[in-house]
Formats: sequence, C-alpha cells, structure tokens
Amino acid sequence: MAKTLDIPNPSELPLAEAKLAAPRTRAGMVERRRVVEALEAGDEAALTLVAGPPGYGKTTAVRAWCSGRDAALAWVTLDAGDNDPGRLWTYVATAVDRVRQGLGRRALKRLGFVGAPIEAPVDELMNGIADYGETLVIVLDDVQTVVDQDCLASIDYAVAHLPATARLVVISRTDPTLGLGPLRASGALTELRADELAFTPAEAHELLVKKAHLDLGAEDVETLWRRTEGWPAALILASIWLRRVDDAHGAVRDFGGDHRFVAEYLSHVTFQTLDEDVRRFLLRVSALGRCTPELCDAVLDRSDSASMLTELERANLFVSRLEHGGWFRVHSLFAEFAVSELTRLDHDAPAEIHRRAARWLAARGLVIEATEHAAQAGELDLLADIVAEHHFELMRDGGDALIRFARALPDEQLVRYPDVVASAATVAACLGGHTLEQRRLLRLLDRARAERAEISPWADAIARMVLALSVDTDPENAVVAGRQAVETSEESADLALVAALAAYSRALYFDGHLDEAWAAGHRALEHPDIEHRAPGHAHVRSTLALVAADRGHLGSARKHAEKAREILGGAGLSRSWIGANASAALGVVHAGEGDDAEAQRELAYAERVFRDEVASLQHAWLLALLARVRCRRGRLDEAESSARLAREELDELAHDGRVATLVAEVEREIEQAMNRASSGDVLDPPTPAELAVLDLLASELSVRQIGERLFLSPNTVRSHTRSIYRKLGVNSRTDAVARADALGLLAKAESPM
Amino acid sequence: MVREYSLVVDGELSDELGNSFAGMTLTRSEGTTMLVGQVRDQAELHGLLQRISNLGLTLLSASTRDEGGGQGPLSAH
Repeated sequence: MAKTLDIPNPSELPLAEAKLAAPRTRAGMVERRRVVEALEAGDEAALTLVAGPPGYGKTTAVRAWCSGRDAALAWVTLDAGDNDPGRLWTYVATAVDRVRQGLGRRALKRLGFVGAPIEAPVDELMNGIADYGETLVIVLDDVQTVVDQDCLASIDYAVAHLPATARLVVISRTDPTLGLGPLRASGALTELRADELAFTPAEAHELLVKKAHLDLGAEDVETLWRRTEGWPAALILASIWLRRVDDAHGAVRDFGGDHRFVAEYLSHVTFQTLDEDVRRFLLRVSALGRCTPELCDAVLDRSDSASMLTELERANLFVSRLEHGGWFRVHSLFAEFAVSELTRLDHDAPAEIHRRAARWLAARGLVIEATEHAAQAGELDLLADIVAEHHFELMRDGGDALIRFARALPDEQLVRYPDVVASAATVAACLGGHTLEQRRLLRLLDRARAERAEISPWADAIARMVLALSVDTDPENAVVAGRQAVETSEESADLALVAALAAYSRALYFDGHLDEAWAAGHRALEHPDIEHRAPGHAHVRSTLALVAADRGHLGSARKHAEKAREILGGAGLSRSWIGANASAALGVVHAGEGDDAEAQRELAYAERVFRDEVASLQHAWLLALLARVRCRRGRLDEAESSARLAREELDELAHDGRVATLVAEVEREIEQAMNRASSGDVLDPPTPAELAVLDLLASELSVRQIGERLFLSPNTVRSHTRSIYRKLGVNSRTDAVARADALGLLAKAESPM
Repeated sequence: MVREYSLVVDGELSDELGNSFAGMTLTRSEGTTMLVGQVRDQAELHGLLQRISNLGLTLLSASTRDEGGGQGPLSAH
C-alpha cells in the first residue's frame, strides 16, 4: 500500500471533541448532600480522588458538585490513547483554554516544543491558571486508562504545583499509581470511594419512594437496598424498572430471592419493559459506545437516531448526553450486557456495527476512533487499511498509537503492510524505550522483503534508517545501514532522504568519522524540502552540533543545537527521542562552554529518555557525558554511579569504539578527582569493620578466606572492599594496601611485610 | 507460562455474559460464579481481571494450579 505522500503541511490528528465535553447535569436526581459535602471538604486538599467501580455515580457526583459551585470547569475524559504526556496535557491545556481563551496558550505552545520535559508545559499551565485568579476545577475522568509512568508522574507533578485557586479531581475505577500515600499522610488528599458513594438506606428510600413514586413498603426498600448493596446504578435501574411493571411488590420479592448478578438482572428486566424497536436500537447503539446521532443513523440505517437518543436520555434509560458537540454515551455497564445480548441474538451484528462505524469515522478523519472500532470488529484488514491510509499522521501526531496497533496485529497480518511496519518502527525509534518492539518490527520488514520481494522503497529506506538510528550495538553496521538508507532514498524514496541522511550522519559520528558525518549532515541541509522535514532536520542539526563541539567550534555547535530545538518547537512531536537528542547536543555545548549546571540538566533529561530495557550505545554515551559533568561539579558519588552504569552497559554490548574510549576517560577523570578530594588526610575514614577487612587485604588471603576469618559472606567482604577503595581513592587491592600503609592505617602486628 | 486459573465472583452470571470471558467455563452456585480456564500469561490474566472490574463485579478469589499440579491460592478480598 505504498503511497507517494505529498504532504506540504502535516495534517494534525484532531482532538476528540467528545473527550472535552463534560457530561450534562441531569435534573431530578436524588440530592446527595453527604456526597457533595465530602467533595466540598476537599477544598483544602491538593488532590481529590473519586475511585470506585462503574455505576457508582462518580462522574455524576463530580458533575453535580461542579455545577453546584458554579466554578469554572475544565473537564477531560481520558482513554487509552492518552498514555502519552504530550497528548494528555494537550487535552488538559485545551480544556483550560476554553474556560477563558488564552489561559492555556503558553502551555500549548510549549507542548509543541519537544526538547523540554513535560514539566515545562505543566508549569506554564499552572501559571495560566494562577493568572485566571478565580477558582478553576480540573477534572480528569477515566484515569484508570492511564498507565504510562511518565503520564502519572506528570500528574503528580501537577498536583505538587497546583495554584491555590485550582482543584484537581481525578475520577477512576481503580486507584491510580500516583503518589497517594504521602498525600494521604499529609492530609492533602480527599477521597470519595465506593463506600461513600453507595446509597444509604435513607437515600435509597428517597430515590425509590419520593422521587420515583413507587408504592413500596419499608421491607421492599430494604430488600432492594440489601441486594444491590447500595450500588447506585443498580438502584436507579430498579427505580426505572419498577415503575414500568404492574406488580412492583412481586417483582421486588422475586428479585430479592434471586441470585443473579445484580447489574445484569436489573439491566435485563428493565430492558424487557421497552418496546421492540427501542430494544433493537439500544442494543445496537451500545456497540458504538460513544456516538452522535449522525453516526448512529449512518451505522444503523435509520433517520431517527436524534429523537431516539434524546428520548432515552430523558427517561434516564442507559444513555447520557455530553455537554456539547451532540455526543451521547451509553452507560458502560449496560453496554457490556447489551453487547452480549446482541451477540446472542445476531452473532454478526456487533462486528458489522463496528465495521461501519470504523469506515464512517475514518472518512471523517477521526482516525484513532476509527481504528478502535476496526480493532473491536476484529477486522484486522480494515484496521490495517485505515492505519496504512493514515500512517503518516499517526506517525507524526498519534503518540504511541502506531505501536499499539502494531502490537494488536499479528505478524501474519502486519507483514502485508510494510509501510505501516516501517512507520511503527520509526515511531518506536523516535519515542525511545521501545527497543524490543522496534527489533520485532525490523525483523518483520526483513521478512516482508523476503516474502514479497517488493516492499515500497519508502518502507525499505525507513527500515534501514531506523537501523542506522539505533546505533544500538554496532556502529559499523549502523553506518552500512545508513548508507543503504541514503542510496535507496536517493533512488526512489526522496521523502525519506533527509531522515536517511540524518541517521547516516549520526551513525558516522558514533563510528568516529567526523568529516563524513559533517558532510552527510550538510547534504541533508541542502535538500530543497528541508524545511518540511522537521524530524530529520532537527536530528541533523543535533549531530552537526556534536561534530562541531568535538572539533572545539563551540559557536557553530551552539547554533546548530539551538536550531534543532527551535525546529522541534514548531513540529508538534511530543516526548521524542529526537527531542532528547537535541537536549543531548545542547548539553554537550553547555559543557563545552563551562556551564555545567545547564549541561547536567539537559543531559539528565536525555539520559532518562534513552533508558530502556535493553542496553544501548547511545544510552551508555549519555551516561558517560553525564558522569563527566557531575564529576566536574564535585558530585563524585553521582558521577561514579553514572560511570559505573555506563561501564556495565558497555560490557553488555561488548563495544570497543569511541564510546568505550570516552567511558575510560571519564573513569580516569573521576578517579583523579577522588584522589584530589582525599589527598593528604582520608576525609572519610574507614569503619572498624572496613579496617578489619583492610588488614586482611594486606595478606594473601582470598576474598572467601577473608570472609571465613571474619565470619562475613563474600559479598559483604566485597562491599567493604569497594567502600575502602572509594575512601582511599584507589582501584586495586595492592594500591589500597600501599595507601593504607602510607597513611598508617594497617595494624602493624598483622602487616605481612 | 500457561496456568489454569479459577476466578470466583459475587453474583451468578448468565451464560451470555460468561461467553464474553472467552475460554473460561462458568459454574454458578449459591450466589457466586466460578470462572475456570487456561490462561496463557499474566497479560491475559490482567485482561480478565479488568473485564471483571469493568462489569462492576466483586472478585472474591483467584487461585491457580500450574503444570506441576501444585495449588497456590491467591485470595483477593
């Protein structure tokens, strides 16, 4: 499915408006003073957590409380696609910006700016909120879908930096992995959980008898309450159901004696009271989850979805309406049962609904939603088609969506869409932290090449480019891959040429060929379309900065590094590996200019992005650079720690080139610094336990024998030994003994001279 | 590593709902339901647990028996 892509302006994946629409408040709900008060009590708290299973009225409670206070509200409903800090905070900043235009502007600008970590845009957002001056409530709904560590950490960060006028409310089905413990301990967390959200018997009575006007005795109410355990959704369903049956009391009695899972029972019986046509409609709409009347009409071949949905919503029958955009949502609990029921009645119906929805949404550019429906339809071909059609936008703006899709598709399927594989591999490379997935994708491309013998030149070039980019284990291979990427692109995939040259240049740098790296980089800059190839352009600039810095041309290095950052600022990539490269380049420049504090900040950020489950040369390189800067700042322990990690990673890679040289240099620098620190007196004297070991180090005893003599495990002996080396500023047993002797630390009687 | 898991939830589930837990057999008794089946790996297990959570079911227990035939109860209350 190779397309020649002629994209002058990168199209952006639109934000899903539905996610920014708060649910509409309903009239006629039971007033839950107790619950509102619990939320009010959180006014002093930094974070309010509303946690409980579906159907506990979490969203309703928060919504009602918000409209009660009449505070400005920024509401975002999250989903699995928001597991990327850039995307998540783009939604939040947009929501805040809609409270008053301009509040989120600086944050949104920063979010397009990739070199800085997520803290920068979050800070800007907090500033914007502080500027607003009045109370502003931010609600994040469905937080159980957020599992990414960086996202959760960014929420923790926001909680810690929230202005006094703002409140952050997190609604979730499960307790999110935020720093809840410390917040609880310091009283900075307000929680509203299932126990509080459940209806009390009094509230159940209020609902069933006062509001729903059901003719039920105290015993019946008690039965209902006991059987549902106060589960709000169940009780509300019961109230609707019982109004529609002839013999409410009899129905309650049957219910009380039944053992069926409550939610299913009640959904089922309520459902049975509806007209046939309404039932048909409801079952099918449930498969859609979130929809507009237009989508419904198109998918279900109807023209009356608008009135159906409105009527259902009015009667509180399983459907709620979002505040704007004309979106409706089927209650998730009901949707579960409905889809089971629909499948039972008409096995192929759900898949057909998802299929149609996928096509309708894809045609309107709602790519992420379309792919979700395609995936649910089990229509892997359709999914792959949609992804292939939009893989360029997905690659650019979709965060990690492409990687998720690649994972969802089995190898057999994926191998037929080499362009998608290539794009996904690029995303994996660009995001960092997906080395294993990246390798799987590259292997798939190899297989595609072998099986089909015709993958598009673009996919081919990209595959080689990714290989070159990784520089993972072997700089020489990376150089070869880079050269092949360039050749293929030159021949028939111009779209990939800048990126290929960038990767080639980087590989050359790591393999120690500075002149060639310089030349390749400049060739890229001369490309007529360079301005539209932001990622490749930025990457080239980062590499050129490094080459210049290595040659001592700091002015030129600075220009290139700053340009890299500037380019990424306009490109809308979020949390990317290319951004980390720009940071690394800037870090190197700062270090060259003697600004070690700035250098450390930039390099530390880059190092974090490069951390992965698998050892990599670029990570080892960054650790070494970081170690050097820390050493220069006198943070010797930290420096040593980074250097050691670098050495371990190198050992794993069995690498022997220029990064190895760098690491060795840095190790020497640290050693010298430590010696200087401890020359003359031993600033940090060995403990008695260490002295005991030191004495025996002066003998011929092995580590194990020393352990036996002192009743210590070999590991403990080694640990003491390491500590002794550090304190004495040495690296070997003989040096330690010599130095200890010189300092008069050895017990003379034992010294075997 | 494939293990046979038994998950017990509060409430008796219908067969239809049980079908949505693909590959698990359903046994109802005395107000609870037991779902038993071969679970390929932990990712699949957590998918099942998430489905239980999404349905608002209360998990009463989860236990496993691996190839070796040993029994290891992991009660979750």
